[in-house]
Amino acid sequence: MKFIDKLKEIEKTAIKEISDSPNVGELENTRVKYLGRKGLVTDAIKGIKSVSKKDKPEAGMFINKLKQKITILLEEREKGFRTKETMVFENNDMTLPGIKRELGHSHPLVKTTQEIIEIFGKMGFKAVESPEIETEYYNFEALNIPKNHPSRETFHTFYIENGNLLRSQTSTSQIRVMEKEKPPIQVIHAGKVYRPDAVDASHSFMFYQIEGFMVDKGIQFSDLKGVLERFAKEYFGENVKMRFRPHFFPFTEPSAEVDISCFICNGKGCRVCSQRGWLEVLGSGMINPRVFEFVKIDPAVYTGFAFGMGVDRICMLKYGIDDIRLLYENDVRFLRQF
Amino acid sequence: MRVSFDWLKDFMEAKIDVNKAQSFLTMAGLEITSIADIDGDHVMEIEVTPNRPDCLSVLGIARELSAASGIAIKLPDSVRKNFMKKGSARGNVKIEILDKHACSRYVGCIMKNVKVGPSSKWLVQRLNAMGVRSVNNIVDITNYALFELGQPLHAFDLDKLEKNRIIVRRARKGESIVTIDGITRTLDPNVLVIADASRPVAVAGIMGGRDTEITADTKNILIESACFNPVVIRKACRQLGLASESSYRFERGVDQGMIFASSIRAQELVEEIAGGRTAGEMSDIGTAIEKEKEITISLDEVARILGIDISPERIKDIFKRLNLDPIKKKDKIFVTVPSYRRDLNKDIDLIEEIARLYGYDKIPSRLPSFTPHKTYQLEKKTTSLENEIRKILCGAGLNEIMTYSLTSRNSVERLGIPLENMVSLKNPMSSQQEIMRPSLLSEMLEVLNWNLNRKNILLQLFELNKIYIMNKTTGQADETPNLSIGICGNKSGNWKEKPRELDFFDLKGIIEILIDSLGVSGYRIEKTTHPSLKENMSMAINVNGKACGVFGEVKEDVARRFDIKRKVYAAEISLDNLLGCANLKKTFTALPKYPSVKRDIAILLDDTINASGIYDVIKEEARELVKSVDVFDLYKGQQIQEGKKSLAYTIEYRSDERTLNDKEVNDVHKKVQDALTKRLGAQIR
Repeated sequence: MKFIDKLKEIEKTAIKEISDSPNVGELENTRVKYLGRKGLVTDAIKGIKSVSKKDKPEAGMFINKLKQKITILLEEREKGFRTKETMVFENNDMTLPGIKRELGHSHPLVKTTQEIIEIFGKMGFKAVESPEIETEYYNFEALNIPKNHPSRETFHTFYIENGNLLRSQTSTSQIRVMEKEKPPIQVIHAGKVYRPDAVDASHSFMFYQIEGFMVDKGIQFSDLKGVLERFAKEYFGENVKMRFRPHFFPFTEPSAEVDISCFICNGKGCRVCSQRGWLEVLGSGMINPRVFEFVKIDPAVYTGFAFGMGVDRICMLKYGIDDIRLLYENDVRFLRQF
Repeated sequence: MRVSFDWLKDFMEAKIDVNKAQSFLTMAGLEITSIADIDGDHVMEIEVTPNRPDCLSVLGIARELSAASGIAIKLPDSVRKNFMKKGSARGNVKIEILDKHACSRYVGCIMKNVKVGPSSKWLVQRLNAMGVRSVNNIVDITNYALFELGQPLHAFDLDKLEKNRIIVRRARKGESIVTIDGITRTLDPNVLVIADASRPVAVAGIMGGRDTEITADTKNILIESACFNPVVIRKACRQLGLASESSYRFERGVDQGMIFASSIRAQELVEEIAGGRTAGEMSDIGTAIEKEKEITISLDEVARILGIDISPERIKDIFKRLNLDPIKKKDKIFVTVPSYRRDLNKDIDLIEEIARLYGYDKIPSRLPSFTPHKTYQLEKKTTSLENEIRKILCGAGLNEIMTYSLTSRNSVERLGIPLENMVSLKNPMSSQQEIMRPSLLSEMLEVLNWNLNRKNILLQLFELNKIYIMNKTTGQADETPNLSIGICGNKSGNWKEKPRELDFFDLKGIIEILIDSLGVSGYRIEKTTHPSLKENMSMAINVNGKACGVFGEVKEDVARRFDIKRKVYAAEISLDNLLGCANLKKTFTALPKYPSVKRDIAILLDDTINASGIYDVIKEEARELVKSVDVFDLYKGQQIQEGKKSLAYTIEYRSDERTLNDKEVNDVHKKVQDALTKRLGAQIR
């Protein structure tokens, strides 16, 4: 019998035996019979040495194809068995849970920051960077907080060994940017600030702030109100009411603290707003002419407004988180909720 | 500060409801944070901002309420008549001010034959409402006047003052005093004291001494009403760790117009309540009363800053309510600032006054126009990279964490990182937060541990945050953005799949997906060393010979130092370096026109030969025809010879120019097989 006919014979019996195998066990025996170490096909491959040079390429190709064919048939047959075996419960019980892939989540502080920056971005504010490790000049002096002034007392500060400090508010970015840029300026900056406060449910020695400011000819308190009201409506909802209360910040004048109507009780008073109906969300004001003098922008020509808000606080309000420590513990059961 | 509403009402000419008062004050800038009911009185907790020390008294709050409500204010006659008065320097009290910088004024008054005893009920109640307990009638009167007018007073037992003298001077080194709280205070020249002929009898502006305090036996008293330098008082408070209602006000500055009047007010109350008589003329030593400031404001400026259309009459009315005595001349208004408003110095200060009394709520809102597309020098450069990284890693199932930048030296040591060039705090609150972290890994390990302790078993986390290192050349701290990744625990199973432990290749897969998706080309993952990572499991991500980051298995002893007893895999990557080689601009590559052919190949070869070496051989032999090489099986064990491994690959061949025929595929596949045999000694199986 010619070598090639032998191969065709093997092919015929193999196809039959594979399709006749009654179960996975038998099928495995068939696989060994043909493709095993001492299997028929394996033997044939070894036997190719004895084939004449002329017939060798044809025989080689045939064997390769045969091997592939048998492999595929075995796989298909096996799949058939598997389906039959598993169908019993797979198909009958559709109430089995779906196979879920693990989904990752951004941190709620990041989400909050991104959402806020996006809203201001739409109003033309561009995000800038500003260092966390600062000098007294940027953190205090240029922001009109002179040494030995009682207003410094509200800014407890960490100092580092070279005499610099960890900024206690992101308003430092006002000075950093205005030193480098000529008006019109319209920027926003998000970052960390540090204050030596003991950690409890509502305090942390490190937290995040977002600072925004705009400087140009003709900027008025009305613009500050307009921009912040737009922000509040986009972020907290169209029905939210906003209240500007006079306040004091050394770097703005007039200064305002801004409250929004409590979106949980709609201003009626609840636990979240301590029965006040209002939630304090940010500080703001018209940039103090003294600050402009430090950065050599003429206050007789330019005016500007600035605002700053605590990201942690807004994040906690928005999601109803009652303990700031949860934000920094990073329990995955917490992280997966956002 | 606390204010009794009953007391406040005494100062108002007309009746006012507590809720109205709350609203007026809050919207004028004195936020009422709470109202408590004490003995039928409403006690308001008011937030007084540091620029308004004049509001640290019932009178001060009353002035604001009057300005906001329009209700006139009612002052005790003695106060009204003596406001802005200065007494004679030649009274009968022997006062000497040795440090005129630290004490600009001292008013002393002697009262004789007082009857010290308990205070009447109304006085006790008022003080109680302010949070102060009653001591005796004389002390209570000085406290009463302090809360009423904002001027701290002190009463000495005159007979215990040696030679009846008052000397205001710096304490001498080695001097000490027992203050009325019974504590011995060691003094030095940083502390200003009130002394008699021989010794300190009070820490100026902060607290009196026990030796000269008013007791039941006191007959004659000396009442002090003075003005001390805020900085001197603040420094002394810090140094002594002592503060009081008095020092709180002196630190912020008292009203020079009220110093004399307060003394008169106290005398009036002592006469009325404790029956003493003022003996002789009081002494008022120190500087004359400064002339009141004058400020001019132009009406245009009001509109320029606030954006409101307000009439000059309305502005004048607001100024009148604030006792600013406005005079309008053409388009300007001139005002005279009362002594207690030390915060009003420039026109912008007056604009704020107009705004808050006009009502912030009445200022219209508008959206400003802006200049689009301006670029700023400080614009944040890593934003899009960070957002892309978040997208990729969240998509790969990782959760983002945010941790504190302050950490302990110990934490850094636990990582095995040398404590060099640390940014250390001068005034840390605790050793847990004493330095700025030089790596994100310690917090990553802390968070992993926190979660493991809470039985959260699948942990795949990342953090985008800054690290801080002192730059030796500049002497400044560098803040650099980094990415850390940490994975640990079990991939949870389900009814179809078995659970399995996360391992090195899960992390490597994350890194590869990340780097590929960020469009970094020509990177190599190569062995490296890292103090926190296992020696043979530390890999560097190198781009053009520069390391972007490291990853690998955390050393067991490092993990254990963070109380983690499982295998942990971690990475730390520098965003600045990544930024240099990432390419977020996606460009489209045409889909292949011709089909590909897949061929499997199983090889047996020495265990020492790396997968990357095999890959290189395949790639070199098949050149551009090979499109992908996947490992689908790896086997080591009983079935094969020791020191060998069996690897199975699927190689995908494809040409960009034509459909490959069988022969071409066989030829190239044969070439690959031969090369693997020849070059790597592989056996084809």
